[in-house]
This record gives sequence, structure tokens and C-alpha cells, in this order.
Amino acid sequence: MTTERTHTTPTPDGPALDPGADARPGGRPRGLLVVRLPRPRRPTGTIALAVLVGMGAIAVAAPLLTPFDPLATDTSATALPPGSPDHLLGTDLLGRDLLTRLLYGARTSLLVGLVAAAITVLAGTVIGALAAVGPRRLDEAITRVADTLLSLPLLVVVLALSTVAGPSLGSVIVAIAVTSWMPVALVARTALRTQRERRYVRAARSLGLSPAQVLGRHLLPGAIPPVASIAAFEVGHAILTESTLSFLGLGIPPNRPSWGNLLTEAQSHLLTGQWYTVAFPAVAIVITIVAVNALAATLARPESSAW
Amino acid sequence: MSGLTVRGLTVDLPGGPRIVNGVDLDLAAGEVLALVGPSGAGKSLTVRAIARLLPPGARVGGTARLNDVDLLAVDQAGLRRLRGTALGCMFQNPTAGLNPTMTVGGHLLETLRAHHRLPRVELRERGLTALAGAGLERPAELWQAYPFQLSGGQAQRVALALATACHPAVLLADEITTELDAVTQAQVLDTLRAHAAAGRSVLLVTHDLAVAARWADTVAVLEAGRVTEHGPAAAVLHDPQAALTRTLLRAAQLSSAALS
Amino acid sequence: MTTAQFVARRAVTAALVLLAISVLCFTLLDLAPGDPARAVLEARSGGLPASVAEVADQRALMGLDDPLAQRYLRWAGGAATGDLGASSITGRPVTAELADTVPWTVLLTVVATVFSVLGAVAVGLVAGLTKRRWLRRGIELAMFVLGGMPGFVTALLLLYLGAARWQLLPSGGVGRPGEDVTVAVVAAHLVLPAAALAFGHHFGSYVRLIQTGITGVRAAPHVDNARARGLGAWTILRRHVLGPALVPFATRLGVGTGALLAGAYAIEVIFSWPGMGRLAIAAAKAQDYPVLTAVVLVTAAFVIAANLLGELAVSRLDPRVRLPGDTRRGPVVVGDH
Repeated sequence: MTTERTHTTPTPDGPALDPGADARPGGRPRGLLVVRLPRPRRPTGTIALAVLVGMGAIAVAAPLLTPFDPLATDTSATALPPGSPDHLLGTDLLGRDLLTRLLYGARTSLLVGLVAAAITVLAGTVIGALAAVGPRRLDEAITRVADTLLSLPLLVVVLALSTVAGPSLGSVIVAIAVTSWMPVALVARTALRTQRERRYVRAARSLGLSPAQVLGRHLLPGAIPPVASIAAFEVGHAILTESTLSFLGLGIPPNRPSWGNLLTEAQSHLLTGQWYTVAFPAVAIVITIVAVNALAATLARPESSAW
Repeated sequence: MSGLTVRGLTVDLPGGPRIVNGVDLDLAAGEVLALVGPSGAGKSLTVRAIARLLPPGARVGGTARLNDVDLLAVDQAGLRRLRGTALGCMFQNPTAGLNPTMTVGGHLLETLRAHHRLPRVELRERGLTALAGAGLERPAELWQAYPFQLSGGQAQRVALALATACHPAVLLADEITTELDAVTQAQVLDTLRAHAAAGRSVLLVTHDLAVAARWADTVAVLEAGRVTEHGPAAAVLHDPQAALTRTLLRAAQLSSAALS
Repeated sequence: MTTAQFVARRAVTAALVLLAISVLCFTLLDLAPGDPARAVLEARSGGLPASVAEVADQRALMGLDDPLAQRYLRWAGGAATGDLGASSITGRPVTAELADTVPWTVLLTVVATVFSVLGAVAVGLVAGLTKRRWLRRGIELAMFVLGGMPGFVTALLLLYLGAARWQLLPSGGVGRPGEDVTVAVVAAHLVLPAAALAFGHHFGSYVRLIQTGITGVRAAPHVDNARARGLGAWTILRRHVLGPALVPFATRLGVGTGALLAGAYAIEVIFSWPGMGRLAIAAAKAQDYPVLTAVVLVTAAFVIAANLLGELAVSRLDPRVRLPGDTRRGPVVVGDH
């Protein structure tokens, strides 16, 4: 499935990479930190980032923003609609405040999304790097495994994993990481191989730099933009998978609200007229994933539109 | 069969520039007219304008009369009828002009079916005749071939067969030999000449003066959107009147001896 | 290599992959906490806890104390002859459970695929051909947002609109109790779940593929050439624009069907559709390992089959695409040039 091309790509190194940076007067620092992420020419990426940062801030500040306990039931205030006094978004059948559950749910969902994505990206990048710079046989083995796994229905695997480990925060994170590393590995591998063909990398090698130095100073920095893009995409994917698992009752257990498990009994609530218990977490999920995807698209192609 | 008469052809590209600025051409039955000139002069645009295959937004002026019908003024339905039956086109990259998911036979059948209401067997006969007339041996074998299986010369001959399948009076050929090697080029052009000998008019756009010298009856030189010289090939190329023609000949380093 | 040989080769690979999956699954589920023997006893007694002696007896009965390899081989041997064990919850043979549920899932997936293809072609055509910027950008934005909606969210939305708000269509199952299960009734119950599955978050990528395919092909030389030969606009659209434009989409569809199948699980739960997915979720929650193993294998087999069908379909559509190992075709050299 992956074709071999070893010609030199004629595309110039754009504003993301500035190999001559340390040659400038004033002496800039060398290494990974010298990379500037491309500045998006359209506002969509910035807006998406702002939305996500805002959401993160609200999630972190949850205890400060609401006096209620997300798990505390209140039999005197059941099934209140949004706009009720004290309960901005209403309450559910057990009297739990929906705004509180939404905010605490944000904490869990965003945490799982970020941690799972971080592990996925780390594992995927390492595996992809091994494939790109390692021996040929290893590369073939890794690519073959990744391609085969990609063609399998992952929810099934995740199902089996959750069953084995029992529903918990940790098992969800591991399940997501185990089934999502493949695209990251393949992207990292392609990015590193493309970098390897660039002239300045060949120059560095001919000057006698060790493979480790070449990897650290030249290969990795150039590979950052595509990997950053798929990393952002993986956050969205992680949130999506966690919400689906939790919704099915196989993800985060109910003693810890997440947007997914807030929706577990959603279908019956919809049919009895309590659409708002479903709408708020669902909208929150969609907005987050869309924002993350917009960010991912902007990182991949800063000059074109995110959608 | 009468030929093609073009008067005052102008082409404006979307966004402004007027590339073709008043071109007059006369093409008689059985005549091969070579349209030459430097790149950017507007040769391809002239031909595309006559066939009404310009990019959307382009504006065309003037007339192009074929059999008393003005090609530039006829409506869409009439144009569709005339295309193929009165006017045939061939372009530079023959393989790109074919649908990669259809066979040669498929292309011929759909062309013939668009203009003739005949049983499939008869259409196939006509298609095979067209392929043979384009100089292809064993047309029945080529009938099943896909475009990616054809050589450059074969593809150009298929394009010729498609362009002539419905027996048009006029053939427009835009740089059809540019991507072919010299031997194949000569063979394809010989076939084209044979079609002309049978009464078809051919407008041959080429930047190669040697091609014009060897295969054309008349030559028209296009410079900056206007025809600066127009006459019998031998005359124009041996005794050019316009400065540009002389420049072109010098640049091509053709001596009188080489041209005869 | 002919098509038959290609399929045969793939079948062998598929069998090996399925074997590997079965080993993995079996081993994995063996690590799970909980005791299947206890689960069976408690299911039978309606929740009453079983004594240690009873559990030990049940374990011996079910052969749970044998080594892993022996248990696997016993299971595999049974599977090869069509016996996949019995559900540890209901006690019914797994094959019976599958026979009851797999056809419903297949029906749902097939109908959803049809909806998906028709919908994607329609929307993709509009997006690819329209000259109105607002329409094109509007469709692109809608597809982008759709890509951010998990399948179950789309399903919930459709459930709400179709069944709760506007009361157009039934909300679940395949027929109301007491109602005859006729084709019409099933069809009515099929609409919402199939639509939810069809227009889930992969739909946007299908539309984008078709749209890009069309804008790419629309300006291609062979389209101009077709016009120059006097072909009608409709013929050109159908055969010369849509045909080549659909090739990348067809490639993606084979792989996408696998994702569709996975997405069906949540949809089946939401709409109480009596399919394999709902069975799997219930089995997972109840730790019914025989059923779970069987469902994983069946799903994997379907996905592999869908991928294979996709590859075959693409090689049919586009003659340039050769199946791996095909050495038949080469340039036709018929003497002259």
C-alpha cells in the first residue's frame, strides 16, 4: 500500500522551517525549539484554538463555577427544565444539576481525550520513527502490521479490551491508544522519510553528523507540522471514541461523569420530552471535536480553508 | 464539399486580454493549411474558438462559415449536430483525450451513436472502417484496447479515427505531432494528407516549420493575434514577406535547400 | 493471475488473519476478571449468588480448569464443525444467536450503504458542479460539521426529529408488539437507523472525494474531446465525468463499509435493532465470552470480505488498476505505430 519513492521532492521548505536561523546575526538557539509553527492566514484556526482553550479553562475551573456536586441527587428538584432558578440548565430525573454534570463531564472527557491522544501520538511517533530510520525489515514489518490493523473494525477490538479490563478511566485510555496509533505511525514515517530526502539533510550527513544528530536536529523539526496536525486529529478521535464507549456503558463508569456517560439513557429521555439532558452534552461533544478538527486542518494546511 | 471561411475572429480571455485580434482564414476543400507562429501568438485559441471549446468566460467575435452555416452563431443543439459530422478535432496529447475507463471501440460506438441511428453491428462496421482509414492495421484487435495500452502514434491515429468517423468536411488539428517522434510524426501526417486528398480540408496548427513545409499546401503566419502572411507554402517559406516569418525561418535554421 | 486466483489467495490470507484474531480474542478474554461459571449459575438462578462448591462443579463441567491451549483447541475444533459453543447467559447455542441477529445487521448495513452511496453521489455532484460559491461552501461546511459528530449523536438527532418531534417514523425495534412483521413494517422501522448509519461521520469524506473527483475530471482533456465529438451533455456527465470521478470513491467505499459495520453497533442499541451489534454490546456487559468471541470473528470476516469486494469492484471500474500479481496486460503492439 505504501509506494517507494526516492526522488527529491522539489517543494521548498516553507516558513515552518528555517535551517538558516542560526546563521542569522544575533545568533538564534538551535534544535527543536527553533521551529515556528505556521501562522494561519485565516481566522478559523485561531478561533478553534480559542474555543478549545476557553473550554479547557472552564473545565479546570468547574468547582469554582458551580456549588453542586455532580453526583448528589436531590429528590425535591427532579426533572426541572433549563432556566429554572439555581439550575441554569435544569436537572435530570434524579435531581442532579445538569450544568454541574456538564462541567465535570468536560473535565473527564477533555482529560481522557488529551491523555489518550498524547500516548497515541508518542507511541505512534516512536514506532513511525523506528520504521523510517531503522532497518528495512523492521520498516516492512511495522508497515504491514499497521496496514492490517487499520483494515479491522476497531470498535470491536475496543469492546473486547474494555470487557477484559473492566470499564475505567485507565482502560479507556489504553484501549484508545492501542487502536489509534497506526495513522500517527504512518504519518510520522512518511514525514521523516520525506525529510530525509531533503538536500540539507544529505548535506548534514555528508558532513559527518551521526544518525542521532541528524534525527534530532534535522529530521524531527521538519516532521513536526504533519505530526502536529494528526496529533490534533487524534484528540478529536479520542474524544469521539471515549464518548461512544461511555454512551454504550463500556467506557467511563457512571460514578465519574463524562459527556459520553451523561448520554447513556439518552434515547429514552428523548422520547419522554427531556431533550435538554441530551442536547447539552451532545452539543458539547460536537463543538469540541469540530474545533479540534479545524485546528488539525489549519496545522496541516495553513493557507487554505479549514473546511 | 466546401471549406471553411473565417472572418474577423477575435478571442478575449476571461479577465481581459484580447489574444486573437481579427483573424481571416480561407480553407478550400482538400486543402491543408498550416497555421504557424511563435508561442503565445494565439494559434491554439484560434482553433478552439472555431470549435467553440474555449474556457468559460472567454468571448468570441467574428464568423466562421462552414457550408453556409456560421459555427460561431449556431445554437447548442445545432452545434452538437455539426460537431463530428461537419467539423472534426484532434489535440496535442491523444491519450489524455480518451476516457481511461473506456475501450477504443467504446469511444467509436458512442461517437457514431450520437449522430446515426443504426443497429450496433453497422455502427461497429463504420468504426472499424474509421480505424482502418486512420492507418491502423488489425482494427478488430484495437477495438478492445484501453487507452493506456496504446502507443503515442496509435493513440493519435485513434484520435484521427474518432475525428473522422462521421465524415466531417473540415478537420482541425492542434499540434498533433508535437509529442511524437519524427518517424511516427511523418507516418501520421502522411495519413492526414491522404484524408485531404480525399477531399477533406485540414487546418494544421504547428510550431514546426519543417512540418509546414513538407505537408501543407498553404501557410498562414500568426503574430500577436493577427495573420501577417498567408499564401502557398513554397512561396511563404522561400520568400517570406513579413519580418516575423524571416525571424522564424532563421530561428529554425532552415535553408531554402532544406525546405524543398 | 485471474480474478479467481486472486480471490483464492485472499481467502487464504483472510483465513489466517481470522485464525490469529481468534487466538488473540480467546487469550484476551481469558484474562478478563470474573468467572464465567459463576455468571452462568447466577444467570440461571436469577441473580442468587452461587456457592463455592457449585461454582467449582460448574467450572469442571465447562472445562474451565484445563490449560489455555487445550481450551482454545477445543473451541477451534468446535468452530470448524460449526459449533461455537453456547451463550453463557442464555444457554442457547451461539450459532443460533448469530443466526437470529446477523441477518438484521446485514440488512441494516446494506440499506445504509445504498443510502450512503446515493446520498454521497447526489451531494457530491451538486458540490462539484455548481457555480454558486455559497452552495459549494455551505455543503463543505455541513460535511465538516458532520465529520465532528459521533455516530450515536447523529442517531440521537435523527431519533429525536423523526420519532419524537415530528412523529414520522417508529422509534425502535422492527415492529410493534402484536404487529405482523411485513416488508412494509420492517421498511418503516429501517429508515431511521439506516439513515443514521448512512449519514454518519464518514459521509463527509465520501462527499469530499466525489466532489474533488468531479472538479478534477470536469476540466480534463477527454471531456473536451467528448464535446468535440458532438456527444450530448447528459452522456458526457454520466460516462466521462462521473465514471472516472467515482474511482477514488469506490476505493474508499470498500474500506468504509468496515467502518460502517463498526458504527452499526451503537445505532442498533439506540434503535433497539435486533442485530449483531446489540448482541455484542449486551454480551460485553454480561461477560458472555463465547458470544463475544463469535461476534468479533464474524465482524472481522465481514470487513475483510467488504475490503475484497471493494478491490474487485475498483479493478472492474478502472482498467488501469491491476490486481496485485496481474501480469496479463501490456501495450498492444499491432505492427504499426
